[in-house]
Amino acid sequence: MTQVLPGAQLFLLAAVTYAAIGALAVAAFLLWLGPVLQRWEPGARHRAVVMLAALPAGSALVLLVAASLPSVLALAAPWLDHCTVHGGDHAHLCFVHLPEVGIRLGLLAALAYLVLRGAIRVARAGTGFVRAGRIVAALERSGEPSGVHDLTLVEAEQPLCVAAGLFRPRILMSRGLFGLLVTEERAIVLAHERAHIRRRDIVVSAVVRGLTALHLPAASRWLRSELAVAAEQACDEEAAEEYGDRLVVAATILKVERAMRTASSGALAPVAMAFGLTAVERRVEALLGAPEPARSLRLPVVMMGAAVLAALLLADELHHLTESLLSLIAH
Amino acid sequence: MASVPLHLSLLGELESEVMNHVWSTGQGEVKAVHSALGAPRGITVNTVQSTLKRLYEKGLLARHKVSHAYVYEPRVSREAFHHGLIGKLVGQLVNGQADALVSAFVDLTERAGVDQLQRLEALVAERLRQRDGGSR
Repeated sequence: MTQVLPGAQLFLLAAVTYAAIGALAVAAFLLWLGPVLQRWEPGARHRAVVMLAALPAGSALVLLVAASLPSVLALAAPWLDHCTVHGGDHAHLCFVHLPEVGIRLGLLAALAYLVLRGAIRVARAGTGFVRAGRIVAALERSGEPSGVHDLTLVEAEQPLCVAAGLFRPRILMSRGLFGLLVTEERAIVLAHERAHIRRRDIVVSAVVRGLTALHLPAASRWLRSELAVAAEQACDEEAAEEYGDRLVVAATILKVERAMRTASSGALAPVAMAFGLTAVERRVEALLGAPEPARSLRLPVVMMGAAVLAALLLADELHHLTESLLSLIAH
Repeated sequence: MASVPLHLSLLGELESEVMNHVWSTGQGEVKAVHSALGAPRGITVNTVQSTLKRLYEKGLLARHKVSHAYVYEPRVSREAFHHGLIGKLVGQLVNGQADALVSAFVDLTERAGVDQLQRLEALVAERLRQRDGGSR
């Protein structure tokens, strides 16, 4: 029983080590791939960012499962057990022969710090989610039906329109924006927001936000920002396709941006000035050009599938490699 | 009208219904609100009364006595209420606490530079003029 804790420490250390390797790989990959990705069509870019965001968590899970397979097999078939060849102080990644010693105290403290920090971040994000959800629900309940089934009008002069909500997203448009836009512009804004709902962008964004907690800070910021811009551009493209006019979509974005700028010079809210091109600038520039050709992500998906298969086939080698790595780090 | 006390502004379903009713009628006393909202839903007069009292205590309704009954009226307009909620939502977006839950048509926390905005507006206007032969 007393050996359960050292065993759990090793599994946790293995998971964190693999996640850290995944995070470093993505950060290094982004230095090269980041500028290339920004030229991809938004749909493919969005999917690629989701895959990159999931890489540390996904690779940690796959590698840990694969590295644990020999010990799972030893549970089911004891004659396959190989742990007896190791010494007692070996970092056993094993459910049968739990290690006699845990990891170094300093490392344990660092692990505890990481887990605690992660838990606090998750709790904070959860609280923010709940609060924002309650505000959106309050706006919807006290708003006025617009006559359009999925649109609620909010009594406010600020020119805003949002799709909001995780499980039952809805569109909220301020009366200020409703009055500012002509019929065709309103149709474009609604087509854009409905595209967000159809694509489940809000759920994806929430999941990616959680996954980016495992990344290095700069990579995490890049992934979240790029995901948001890619989602906006994908919805612009859908609105342009539905309306049949990219220039009018661009003009509508600029009109709303101009109105927001005027409103925010008053007392709307603190406004962050962006460095480099803002999302609006990138969206309009993209709409002024020709649409990028669709891009398939079949190759990276096949490569990831092959990597998962290879990890499972090489489970025994991976198990020993992980134990050696853990012995090196932990003791 | 008073400004909305934000920490009290997140209303329950019945509270929202009652506020919507009072905002649209301008004022209401318990019996009238119950006839409009409570009776159709099978809610008792007491529940409606306590909801109105709670909204009064939250500072969203004002009341005065006429004969033996309180007449309630909005202390906060619907616009002020929404303005407060939106300000709070934008504040959460700025802090990065709500950006995964809300997708705005244009970013609520980041503004394009004036020069860039003017350049893009001119570019789009020019393209539209060229395309439509000056008809727009």
